[in-house]
Amino acid sequence: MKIVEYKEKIWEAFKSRGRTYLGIKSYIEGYAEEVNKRDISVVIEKDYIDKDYLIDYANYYARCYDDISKKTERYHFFLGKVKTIKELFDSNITDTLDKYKHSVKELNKRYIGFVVKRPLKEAKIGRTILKRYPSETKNRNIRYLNVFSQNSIHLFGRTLEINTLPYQEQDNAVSACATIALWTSLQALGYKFNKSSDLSPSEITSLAFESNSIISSRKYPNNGLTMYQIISTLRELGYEVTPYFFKNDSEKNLLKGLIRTYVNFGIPLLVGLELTKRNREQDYHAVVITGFKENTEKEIIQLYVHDDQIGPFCKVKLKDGNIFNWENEWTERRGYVSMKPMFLFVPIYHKIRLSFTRVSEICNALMESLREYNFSKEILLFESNDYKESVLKYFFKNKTLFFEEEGFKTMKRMLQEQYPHYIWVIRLYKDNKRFADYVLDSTTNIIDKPLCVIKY
Amino acid sequence: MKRKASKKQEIKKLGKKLKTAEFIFTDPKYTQKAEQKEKEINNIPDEYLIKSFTI
Repeated sequence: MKIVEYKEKIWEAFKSRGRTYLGIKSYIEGYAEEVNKRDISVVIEKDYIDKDYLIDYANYYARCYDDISKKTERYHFFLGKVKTIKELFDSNITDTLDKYKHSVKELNKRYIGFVVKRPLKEAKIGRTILKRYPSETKNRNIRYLNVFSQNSIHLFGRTLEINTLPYQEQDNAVSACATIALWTSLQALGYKFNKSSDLSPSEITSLAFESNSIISSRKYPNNGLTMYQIISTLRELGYEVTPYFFKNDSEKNLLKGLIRTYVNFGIPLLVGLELTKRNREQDYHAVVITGFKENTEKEIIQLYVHDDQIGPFCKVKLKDGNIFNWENEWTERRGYVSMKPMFLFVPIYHKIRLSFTRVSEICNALMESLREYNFSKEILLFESNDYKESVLKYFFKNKTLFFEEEGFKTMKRMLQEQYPHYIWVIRLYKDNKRFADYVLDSTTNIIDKPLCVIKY
Repeated sequence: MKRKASKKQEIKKLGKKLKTAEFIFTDPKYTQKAEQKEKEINNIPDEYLIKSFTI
């Protein structure tokens, strides 16, 4: 076991053609700053077998002429000085179980996460698991980073737990951006819908070509996947896909609404970006929306995406507040003049049949009919059991509700009814307080009378 | 007493309003519009489906 102080020099080992390591570096440094800590220590684990890389190795690298190792190195980042971290990992014969439990708890608290270093010349960043930033920012904006999976990390007899969304960069051999966007999405979907999400990038690319091989480009080395392949791969894995095509910028509210709804529910949104360079044909790039930041007026002011060529949870600024006009490294450093989300794929459990578009349209009509009351609204997707629990808690927590006894009755009735596994909820707010919920069945594609209306 | 009565009346009025607004969910004027919107936006034209994400 090697524990060293975090220094800029650490990243020398990760340098390659891409700049992803810089994204990870700034994420880790930013995280320490965000939680007001200065010291970071790095534990380097040699000869680590990373499952994703091992399968990719078997499918591709093992048969390269070059001598490429099947083993990786794993770099773990902890908040605290080297001495402190060393002490927490140290053990001797007189130690008690309590000391062990204390060290695991303390290590979990200090753990930022890990980065796997692959032995590849051009794509060193393998599976990367880094804690999400806290939800409240220093200037009281709120980050919503609800797209994640549960990850257990085993390190020298200790189990460390992080709920976050795994990340890795494309290797330009078995994967390009689309494969990695699928891999990222599957991590969160597997957790959300309780399905296995164990495919490595090479297996995903392979499945994409099996699902749709009428394409002239090679499987390996892979140059990318078509939209058709993305959709059919997700279907092959048991998910339904609702595609969105934004021909122009007129659907700003719809796009904002669907990002808000699905991110809050924990669904990764696969985005097809149109990148434009002057006097050149457009390029298309796939990333995954993993979160958004809201100001105190509840407006989306920034997005977070897993971009396999920039980094995890990388920030996307919205030029002039326009959700269709993205700005980040692609426009600031890599020569593109514009970056626009043109296609969006929402991978979803097949029994959620009622689309966001329909709910959103009905919600707009509802707001229009109630416009004299100045309600604000939110569209939410819930597992019905979670919904019941959250509403019950809300009623117990808030004693001064507008509808008083009558509202309580609507809640009690709802708790005793049977509902489909997933439900849509149109929530109305008055003066930033919940006012009413219209609860809709998600298993039909036709909007019908609400299953119930909760009055707060 | 008077305030209590007026609050009760307000609850009744708004409760009724929320109930009345439920017609939106079944009125073909709105549901058909929603379906139309879905047709427009939830379809990727064939020529785009074969485009590759290559960066």
